[in-house]
Amino acid sequence: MATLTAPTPGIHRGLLTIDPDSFPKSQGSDGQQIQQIAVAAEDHWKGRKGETQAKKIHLSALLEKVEGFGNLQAGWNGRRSPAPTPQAIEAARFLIRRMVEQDLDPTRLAPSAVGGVGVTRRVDDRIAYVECYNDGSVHAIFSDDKSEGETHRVRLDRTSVMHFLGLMGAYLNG
Amino acid sequence: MASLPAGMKAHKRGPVDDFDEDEPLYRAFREQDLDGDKVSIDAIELPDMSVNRGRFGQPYWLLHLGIWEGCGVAAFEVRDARYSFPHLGVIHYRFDVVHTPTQDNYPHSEIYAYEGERHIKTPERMDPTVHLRYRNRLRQRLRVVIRPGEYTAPE
Repeated sequence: MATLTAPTPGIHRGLLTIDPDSFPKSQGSDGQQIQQIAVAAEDHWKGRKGETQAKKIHLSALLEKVEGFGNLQAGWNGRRSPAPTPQAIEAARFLIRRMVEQDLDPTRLAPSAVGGVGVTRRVDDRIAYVECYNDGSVHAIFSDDKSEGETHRVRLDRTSVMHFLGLMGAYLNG
Repeated sequence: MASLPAGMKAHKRGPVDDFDEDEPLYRAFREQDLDGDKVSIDAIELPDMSVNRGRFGQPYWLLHLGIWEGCGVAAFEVRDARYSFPHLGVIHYRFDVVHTPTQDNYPHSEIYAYEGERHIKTPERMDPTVHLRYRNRLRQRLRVVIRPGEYTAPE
């Protein structure tokens, strides 16, 4: 059993205040164990920091992609489809931010052939497809390769979106 | 520009109203319309979605039209396109395929949506829950028959 007597001020992460280098190897097996714990803790926090950074970069790329849909012209797909409006793009950006926060990152973003922006999260054969329409309204369907699917109207306030994302997570991961 | 197969020209032929339930319908799609091995819902437009009838042409004919050069073709059947959504025991929305030939594309047809007996011509007039369910139905049934880049129409 080791007694941690706060060595030199080292790495500060919440309740953990350990500098792995401040434990001399000569402390024997307890010292080595403490050092291993401290190194593991540091690796963990570095990993978390890296994850957060990667998430920010990923979110920024998704938002940039949706923003780019604003440059499309009517008939962008060789058919009669209208271009996404600023309202549709803003709704999609709001939704995507919340999805990434909840670890439900979209797997596909595309302009919609009926007008607006389509946001998909697919897990195996299950999809949650959310359509942000040009008038700013949002509807979604959860389905697999066979079922008729379950539709939802999505209101764009934080509470309603979080509730909706709870349903999406339960459906996709259930 | 690719030449059109002879059978593609209308040559004064008019529309043929009858469809067999198992007649294939072909639809061109772009590489970016695929999500995995399926055409994504976002790439399926309504109402008046364009398709080509299998009775009057081959799937690759679509790729002779300049705008679909290098694209792929997916297929489904007339029975997949025909569908009704009852509401309170009454058929409220109905989808059906209609042969609408053009001068350079005789097999051209469209999937019409009806509210009661009225043909709906703009998506804003459709209930989103209905068109999402219908487009999802087509997504489930569309199967890729020519992958993008797989066929090059001769000059």
